[in-house]
Amino acid sequence: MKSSTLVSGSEQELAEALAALRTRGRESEEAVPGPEVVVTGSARPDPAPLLDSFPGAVGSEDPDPIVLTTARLSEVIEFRPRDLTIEVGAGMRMRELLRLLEERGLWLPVSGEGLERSVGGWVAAGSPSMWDSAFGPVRRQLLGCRMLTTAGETLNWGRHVMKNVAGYDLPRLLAGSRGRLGVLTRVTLRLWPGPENTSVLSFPGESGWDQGDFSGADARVIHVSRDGELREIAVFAGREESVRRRRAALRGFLGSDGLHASESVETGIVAPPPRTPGSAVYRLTPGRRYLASTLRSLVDTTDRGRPAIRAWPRSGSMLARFDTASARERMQSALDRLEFRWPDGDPMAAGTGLPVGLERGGPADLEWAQERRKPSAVAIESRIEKVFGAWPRSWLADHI
Amino acid sequence: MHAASRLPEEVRLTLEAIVGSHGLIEDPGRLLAYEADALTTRKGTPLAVVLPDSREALIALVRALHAADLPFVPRGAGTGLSGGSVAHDSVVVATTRLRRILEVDPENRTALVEPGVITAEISAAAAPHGLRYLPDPASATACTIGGNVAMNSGGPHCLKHGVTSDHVLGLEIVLPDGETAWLGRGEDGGLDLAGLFIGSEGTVGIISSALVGLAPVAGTTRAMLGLFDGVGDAGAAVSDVFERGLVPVALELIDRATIEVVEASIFAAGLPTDTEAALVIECEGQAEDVEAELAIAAEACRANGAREVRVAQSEAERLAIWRARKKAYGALGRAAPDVFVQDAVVPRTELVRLLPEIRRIADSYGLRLANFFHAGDGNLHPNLLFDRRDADEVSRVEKAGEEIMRLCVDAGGTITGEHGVGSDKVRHMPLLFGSGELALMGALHHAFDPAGLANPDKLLPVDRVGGSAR
Ligand SMILES: Cc1cc2nc3c(=O)[nH]c(=O)nc-3n(C[C@H](O)[C@H](O)[C@H](O)COP(=O)(O)OP(=O)(O)OC[C@H]3O[C@@H](n4cnc5c(N)ncnc54)[C@H](O)[C@@H]3O)c2cc1C
Repeated sequence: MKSSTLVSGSEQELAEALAALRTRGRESEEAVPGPEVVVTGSARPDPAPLLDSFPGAVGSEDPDPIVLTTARLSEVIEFRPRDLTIEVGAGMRMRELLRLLEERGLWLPVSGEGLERSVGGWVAAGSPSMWDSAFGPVRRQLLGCRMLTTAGETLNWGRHVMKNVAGYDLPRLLAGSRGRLGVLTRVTLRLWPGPENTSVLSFPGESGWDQGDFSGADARVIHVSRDGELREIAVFAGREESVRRRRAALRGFLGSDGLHASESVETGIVAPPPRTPGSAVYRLTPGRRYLASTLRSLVDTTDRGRPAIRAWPRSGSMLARFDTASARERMQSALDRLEFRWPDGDPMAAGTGLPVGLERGGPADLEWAQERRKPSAVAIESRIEKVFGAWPRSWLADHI
Repeated sequence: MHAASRLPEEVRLTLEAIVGSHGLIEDPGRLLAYEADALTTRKGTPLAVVLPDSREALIALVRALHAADLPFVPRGAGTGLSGGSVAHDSVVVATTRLRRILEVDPENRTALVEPGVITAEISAAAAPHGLRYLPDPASATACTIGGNVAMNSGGPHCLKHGVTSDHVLGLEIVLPDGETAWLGRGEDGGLDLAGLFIGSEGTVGIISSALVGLAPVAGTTRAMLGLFDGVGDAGAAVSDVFERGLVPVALELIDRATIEVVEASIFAAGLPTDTEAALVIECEGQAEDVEAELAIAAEACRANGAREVRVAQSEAERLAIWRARKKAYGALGRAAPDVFVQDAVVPRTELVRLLPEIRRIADSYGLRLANFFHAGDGNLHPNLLFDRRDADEVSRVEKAGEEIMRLCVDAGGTITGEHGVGSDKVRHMPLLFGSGELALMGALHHAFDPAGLANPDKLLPVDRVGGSAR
């Protein structure tokens, strides 16, 4: 475990720290690489444990990385409930944000997990969720943001408006950028009217219930436990009467076999499995067509190599958690064998290889995931990173 | 205006070798068709227009132009409303012959399309599978998907479903030096690269294909009209709809001036010409939900003084309402030789205050104003009617447009919600962005187009080659 320096403070203080770092980095340009920077929304006093579970951090040669936390930027900047927008400090906890919204009958499409993470971390991670297909992913909810560049300069993007095409779409670029391009200090979000009722139906196996979106469910989740048990979850959200009717219709379709109805989303899906040190979480995006075969190839891995999986068939994405190195290796070879076509502008030169993103893992995970990326996309990305003066290894370490 | 330049002979030969003589336009008469987009006040004369008919030809053209250090302007159907494809002494690369739908994958719910495909054709190709492409700019039967992606276009139904960027899963870009890259949405663990290139208005390269998402056709779709005696009341009803917990798929406002013009045209849909404002509200989903949602919307209208609420009684009636809405712009052509359409977005609750203000501005310049817009998104489209041969009127339109823009920005709004910056709004960019933001965007541009060849003078108010502010 490494030692580290924690920088926590106001936006001004963070900006000053960044400016100072930039100077230090410049002075030492020839001799040693600049200090590693980790951006987090974590409120933990000791950031060291963070650094062991993120590739940007663990792979570093730097014995003394700098951890910048937005935890103290937790105020409401501007809440416009009637316009369905809110702007808050990036360090506000998700739980607090959702509570503020609920008071006004409003809502953000987030699932119940990771409520202790910061809002900035939620935006910067841009992780998939069950609501993506119905409400759009995190990047659709981000109307604007304020950031500190790696040199400590403040930049503002977007406003409290639902549509905006003035200039390049920086909010889209920054959503999911994982703190690599700078530090998000404020975010402006699109809000939704809170559903009167949210409830789930959870049942085993694949029953073809979602064919043609017959069910009227607002979201569909497949949950696979490490024992290989596969459960389908239908999520309903909306007006009381509507939820009741649609749920009853699905119940009728399924019959009562093995049906386990659960009233809250939390209990049905969400509780993430406890994290073991050294485990890795991959984001796989096979698309709708290859989702089932990808799922099968991962679940079919017998014995203790199985991952825990949460899959969202409607948006064609999933998260898979592996707890041992051998499990990961098995997954990697399974994925390499999988028939998958990555669509390409030139259909004759269609690429292969399932896109794999790393949510959390060690240096070996990062290296493997990086190697699978298309070189042309990596080249584009590095041009963007250069413009932002991106930190070589910074990583968002928020969501643990 | 200086005398029109010509394409250097050796470049002409190279381009002709790539696209053939039928794919190269240099004749001044034929170039006239490319001197403007749908914003008729901004014009330019291209050196030439090239029309590649394959991806390979497109790439070869961009490489040749790069080698010759000649600027180029990508162009789709030319329906843009911000002068985005206007070319001065540069070569227009038109995508209109790249119009193959390469694949519709019903299982994956995606379509891979070339940039020149007409937007509405995607839904037509998907329809046999019970699918559709959701974004629906009112120009969908004419504009290209490449233009939509370049502008991040919206449309009436983007209120619930999201704009173009929410439906593009990936794209191929031909960079200004002819290199190509397939850009996804960050699913490979990287940045949302497509997200940055969507809405880049042709300033960082040409989109050579796009993978778009498709969605099932809705079970039930119904529309209603709320008729109001005051445009402010209609604005208040818009906010109230959302406060009642409803997000309709579309919520449009059409004012009296527009209704009068539309009802006098072949697109007449029986809208009452004595109403100050009509809201078109559409809901879709399961029949019972649609029924309940329409009732909520009707309540919101009545509570804000609607004198009448009419639910479309048949599919034909519903389609007639939409035809009236979508053809309103064309119908305005009957009322005046020219139309200048503004495009600003404000926080929705500001509509009540701003609609009368905008009317006042138009009146103060003695201009005729017609409004029809995406009210649910707070996306205003004040249309100023004029005659471009009347220099004084043109200058009043420019001034009124500018005043409206400032009004909207001061109300917390933005200078464009869907029509883009193009060449028309470059001057407004500093209303929204400071020097730091502009410099960063300039640097992003420079990273992909260091020679400044891609769609010069659009989008950014900076000397893009040097990256410094103008
Ligand atoms: C009657 C009418 C109604 C309209 N309604 C709407 C509406 O509801 N919502 C809306 O958002 N817009 C609307 N528009 C505006 C316009 O239709 C859109 O901006 C559309 O996306 C433009 O497409 P196009 O193919 O005509 O592009 P063009 O006008 O040819 O070009 C637009 C811009 O895109 C660039 N471009 C074009 N193709 C490419 C490419 N392949 N790669 C890179 N850059 C490219 C051009 O350089 C230019 O900057 C409307 C226009 C009209 C005339």
